[in-house]
Amino acid sequence: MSTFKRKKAKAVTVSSSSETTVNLLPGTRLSPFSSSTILTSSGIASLDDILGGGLPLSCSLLVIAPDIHSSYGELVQKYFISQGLASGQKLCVIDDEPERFISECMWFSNGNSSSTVAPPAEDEDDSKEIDHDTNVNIAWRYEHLTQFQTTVSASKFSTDEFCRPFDLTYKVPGSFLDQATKSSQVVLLKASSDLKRVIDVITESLRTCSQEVVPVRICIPLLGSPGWGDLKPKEVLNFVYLLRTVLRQYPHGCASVGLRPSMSGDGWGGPGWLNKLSWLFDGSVTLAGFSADPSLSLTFPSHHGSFHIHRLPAPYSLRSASDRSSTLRGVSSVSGLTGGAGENNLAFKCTRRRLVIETHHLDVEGGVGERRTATAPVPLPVAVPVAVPIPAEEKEKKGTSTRSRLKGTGIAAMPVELEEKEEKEKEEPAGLHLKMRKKVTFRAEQQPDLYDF
Amino acid sequence: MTWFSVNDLLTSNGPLVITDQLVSPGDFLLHQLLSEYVKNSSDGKCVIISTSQDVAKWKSISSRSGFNLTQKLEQGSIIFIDVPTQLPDLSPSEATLLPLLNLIRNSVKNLHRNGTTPTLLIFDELATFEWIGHPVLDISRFARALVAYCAKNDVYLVVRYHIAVPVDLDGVVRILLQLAAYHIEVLPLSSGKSGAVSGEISVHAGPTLISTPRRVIPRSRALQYRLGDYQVTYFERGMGSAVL
Repeated sequence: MSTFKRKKAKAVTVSSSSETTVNLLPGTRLSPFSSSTILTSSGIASLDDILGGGLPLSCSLLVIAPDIHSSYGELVQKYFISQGLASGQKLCVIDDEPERFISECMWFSNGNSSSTVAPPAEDEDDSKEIDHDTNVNIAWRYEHLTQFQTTVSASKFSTDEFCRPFDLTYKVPGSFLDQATKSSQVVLLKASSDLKRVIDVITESLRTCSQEVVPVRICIPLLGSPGWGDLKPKEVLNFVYLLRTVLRQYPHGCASVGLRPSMSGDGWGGPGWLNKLSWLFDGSVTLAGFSADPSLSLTFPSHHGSFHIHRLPAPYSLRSASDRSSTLRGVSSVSGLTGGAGENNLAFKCTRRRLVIETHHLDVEGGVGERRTATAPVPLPVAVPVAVPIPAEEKEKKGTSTRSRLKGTGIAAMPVELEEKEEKEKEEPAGLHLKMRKKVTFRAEQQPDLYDF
Repeated sequence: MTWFSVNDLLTSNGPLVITDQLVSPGDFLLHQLLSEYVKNSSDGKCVIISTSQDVAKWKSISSRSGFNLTQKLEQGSIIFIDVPTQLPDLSPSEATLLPLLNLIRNSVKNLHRNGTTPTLLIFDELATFEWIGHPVLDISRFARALVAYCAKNDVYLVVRYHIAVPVDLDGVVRILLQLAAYHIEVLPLSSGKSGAVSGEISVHAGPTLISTPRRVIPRSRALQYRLGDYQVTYFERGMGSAVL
């Protein structure tokens, strides 16, 4: 009997019986592992999977985006707001320009919604992947296996009402926003340096909805933006501490807070700044974009940044439900008898229509940029500057007599040339040598096999 | 599987200090301690002071551990103090921690201990006060006063402290460790997160311990643990179920 066992992710089934006996709040569902935990969606299906099915009510989530050249953190906050609007939940948005921010939120594909661009029949990225995979001739013994998945789909959850399939090409309708503002579903507050007043407004929003029993989403897209004034680290921590206190008092609320990129490091808050912040939140994640480091963008061309998890919500248990249920993290499959491995590396990418978090796998060694299952494409020539010694005779002919002038003076001669278009067509450009990209081969074409006799 | 009893480390000479990190939170030790204390002593009284977790989480975990915290709260044998709710005016700029100390003293007095088992006082957690702006001097005085009060009144004191910078222990934590009888360190694995091992713990004898240490676990032989939803499993390094 073979001792090897195939690792399979445990299937997560949501029992429908629990939902029928409890009157759930709009846009929420019960956690399959804890009947006292009520979950609400963050708007991103893959982020919900990482959080353990969604963000639990009475919990707060910190989204750190330290990249100053991108705004992925604000994008996550927009998803959070859009999901709250779509689910009919109450929103309290605190920002420098809350009206402008909320008007830029995405929406789902609907006949009444406004679209910034004409939606194509299929997503370009998805169609490319589909075409690529259909050309693969796979061995017969692997035909029954499912396609390799790096993320989770929104259809994993019971209904679309829990997590809407938002499309970045659509914006929330202006009429919908006006109606939501008039009916007080949306409370907009300008960021202020008076943190106590902000806490009072949040408390009031939660208190007024405690009788209506409607979930309240508190969203602070950019804590520390100029509208907040000149904040000190201890003031920020005190504010977050008070916010957590308010959420504990009114357990039908939840909060999502983003941090200004310049405040997202120990350089601003001192040693252990992010650790202290993460302790005061129930969940803490980082979306570290690659735009600040070009080498990372070249190394991982299919993703836009890496996703790190610092803390996950566990409001009624010792460990987060994500440890058992998350497909992306992959911890649940290894926590049993066959366990021992660490969790998956995660990365995110922002396509034209959505933001998705995926498992992050390293490329094949040897410099190949993708897992190739079809014929290799023609390698692109890469211009690599190679030091080629230029004969002194040619230099003298051209008239640059640097070497001759410096000859015998003891000074190193560094030939510097300007481009000469007339002679360019005839001669090869000196100093540059086109190299073909390195290919992965098991047998060098030019060198004989060592074992050939 | 190895059994590790936190209750054995309780002593009225000095506090049991539990330090943990973000990657390896140590709240499971507090829940285990409360469960063992309640099961081992039928007449024991307990005061829980919390700045982070609300009572709902304590109730949820205790119900899975085999005792009814709700009933104990109603009977008055356990008192739960939620600091942010009961002392909302305890802000760094306006007040010191003296009101909190007075509240704790009154709560211990109100328990009316009849049996022989010393009262248990769980303080979760002390580093938050330092982070939100309370002066280090004020927190140090509060810690010393609390330790002295517990030693004088035969109260088992357990204090949890979050370590934000593992390589730099300064401020209140250094003073706390100087007052400790036992110090439990909850550490993450140096190789990162794992599904089979949540972290490891080591136990050190503190400067104020008078008697012979009951159990000391050096870092080199740290005991590993794996968290479940409501329980924790301990095992020696290399003896986990994933390996065996």
